[in-house]
Amino acid sequence: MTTLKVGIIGLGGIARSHCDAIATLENVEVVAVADLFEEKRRQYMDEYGIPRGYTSHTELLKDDEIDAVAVVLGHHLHHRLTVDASNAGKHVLVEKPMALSLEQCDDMIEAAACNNVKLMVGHTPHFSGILLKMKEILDSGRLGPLMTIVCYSCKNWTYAHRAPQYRSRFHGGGMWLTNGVHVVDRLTWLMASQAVSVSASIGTRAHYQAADDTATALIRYKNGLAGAAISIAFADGPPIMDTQVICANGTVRIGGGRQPFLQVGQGDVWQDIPYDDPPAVMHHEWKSFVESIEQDIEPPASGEWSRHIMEILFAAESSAITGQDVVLESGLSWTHQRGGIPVTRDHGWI
Amino acid sequence: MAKLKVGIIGLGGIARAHCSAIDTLDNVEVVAVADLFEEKRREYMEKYDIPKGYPSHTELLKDDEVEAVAVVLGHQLHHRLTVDACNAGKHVLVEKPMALSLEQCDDMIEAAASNNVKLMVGQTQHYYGTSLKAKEILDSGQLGPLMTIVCYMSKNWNFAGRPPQYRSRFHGGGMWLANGVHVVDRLTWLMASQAVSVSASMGTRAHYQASDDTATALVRYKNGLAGVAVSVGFADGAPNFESQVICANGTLRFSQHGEKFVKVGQGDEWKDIPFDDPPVEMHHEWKSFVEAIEQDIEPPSSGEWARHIMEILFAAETSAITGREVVLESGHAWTHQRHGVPVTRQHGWI
Repeated sequence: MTTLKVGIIGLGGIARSHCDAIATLENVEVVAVADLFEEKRRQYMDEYGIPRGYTSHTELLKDDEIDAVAVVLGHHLHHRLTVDASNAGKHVLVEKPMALSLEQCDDMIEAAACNNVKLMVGHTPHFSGILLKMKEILDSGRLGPLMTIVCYSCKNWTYAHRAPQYRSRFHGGGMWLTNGVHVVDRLTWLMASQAVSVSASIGTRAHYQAADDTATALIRYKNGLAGAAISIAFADGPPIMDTQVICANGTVRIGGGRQPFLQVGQGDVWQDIPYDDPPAVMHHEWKSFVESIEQDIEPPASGEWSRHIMEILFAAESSAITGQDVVLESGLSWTHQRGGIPVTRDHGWI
Repeated sequence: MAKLKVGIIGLGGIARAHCSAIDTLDNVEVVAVADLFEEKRREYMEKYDIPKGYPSHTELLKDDEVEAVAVVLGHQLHHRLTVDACNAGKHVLVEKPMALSLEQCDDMIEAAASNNVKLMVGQTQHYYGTSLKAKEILDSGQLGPLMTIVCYMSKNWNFAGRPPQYRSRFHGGGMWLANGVHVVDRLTWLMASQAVSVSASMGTRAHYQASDDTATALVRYKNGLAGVAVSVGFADGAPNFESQVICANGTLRFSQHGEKFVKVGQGDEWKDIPFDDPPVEMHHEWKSFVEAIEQDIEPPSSGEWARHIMEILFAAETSAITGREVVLESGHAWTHQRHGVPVTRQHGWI
């Protein structure tokens, strides 16, 4: 088995999580990094034993040894860098949110398809130990048909430390695109359906900034159910990362912020369910990405999946502006996997 | 101080909670009951030491000693009995849901106004020790502006023990009218605003019956925020009666049933807040009703308040049928207290 050779583009804070995850896997290694700053490159190369550093992504993309890249910088750069990397024949794992418009998402999907490379988006909820366990319980069918789901991501926005692009919707910032994307992804994944329409209220209520900090959204799905997504960045308060799933024959929930727990409720009693934490937060994400390349199958959290999540997020923003529900362009028919390739066991629409 | 003399119309299970609450107050007493069944009348008269029993409400309403009545029987009877009681010059405390259409609600409000009697609806959520403490914390302003609220009532529907009228929407049954009314009332009370529109999904997913058991609704309010109401009657599971109130400078969570608590989250800590439990759950409800009569002020959860809650519930049902968000008839303007009487400290829209 050969080792997949990866280049990391952008050495902000999240690059560390990617390098840590890659370090837990045997069939993948980081061979190059790209960043404007010499000091950053030096730091990562030393810490993770990475042989090469480039000053720009264009140089990194010319490196023939590199099979795949991680695009992990500013939201407004995801589109251009993903298209460039695909055109250079590299598989791409791009951070969330996928991009800033559906046109950009389509471009990225198209670029990956024509260059015959894999495109995956870093939707971490699909790869967390506790959520994989929850999905396994639901997929077992023992709780019966779904009745409703509520997902939260509420946390301190830590305003003072927010980089300017996070305080600006124009640059793809704000709580909704940064973390609401996780809530909608988690909700849609657990719902096991595609969205029809969204009603949402979004605003800036606890901070002075050019981006939202509050969103409450109801998403209607093609299975006839609705779920709620709550994405809040307050100025004070402990985090709430709860997931409440109510089925006909049992309830399952994830509670707690700092110390999460998974519980199944039956017979009016909540019971704690053990789950396995992976060795690094992004372990399963990288494992799935490498697998999809090696086996030539569609990765979970693929470009098409992620486009659907972005479609919901943008529709919610329109709904908040108009004060009315918004039906998605894809809302009144089932969408299908365009490329027609095999999917993984962890794929979202299973 | 003279004692308010009360007649109870309908001796189902909930009449017991009303009699027990009246027992805890010095300025009110039950002097008569009305029920079709001799055995029921006998049981209540002996247990609560009630002097008079009537086989029908018409006879009870002719009793000049009776000043106020509690209308506590089937949802489909609330309208007729309330109007009859008002026309007989009695103050009315009617159980929730107020009635089965807005026309019925208007009739009841009009009947109370033209006969100069008080009309209050048993929206119990306003009167618990936990919820009064929660509202006090919010009203103090210490948590800052509101960002969003999610209210739940998710519990076992107890299908086998449900009488037929609860399994039939035609008779005002189903989880939404029976318990969703509490969730929407609690949400709207905490939201301190009036509703604009609703987007909801409802269905019958865990039982065979002629009424709903699942509802997920987003309610948009005139303050620009949206809240979520979850009302689910499952076949098996563990209950959730919580309210999550997220403000800019702190989060409030409370629950009256299941686990009973009031918690405030600030910094990284959840702190339990002590609260005073009334001697019985309906103590404050009866206290407020008697006060409203004695002081000639508008009761909390007045007819107009409850009408607004019913307007939201019916709009949610329409939204579930059409699959679209529904704007309330009252949605684009502020409604005002029609009769211009003083309000209590605990009134809903303060």
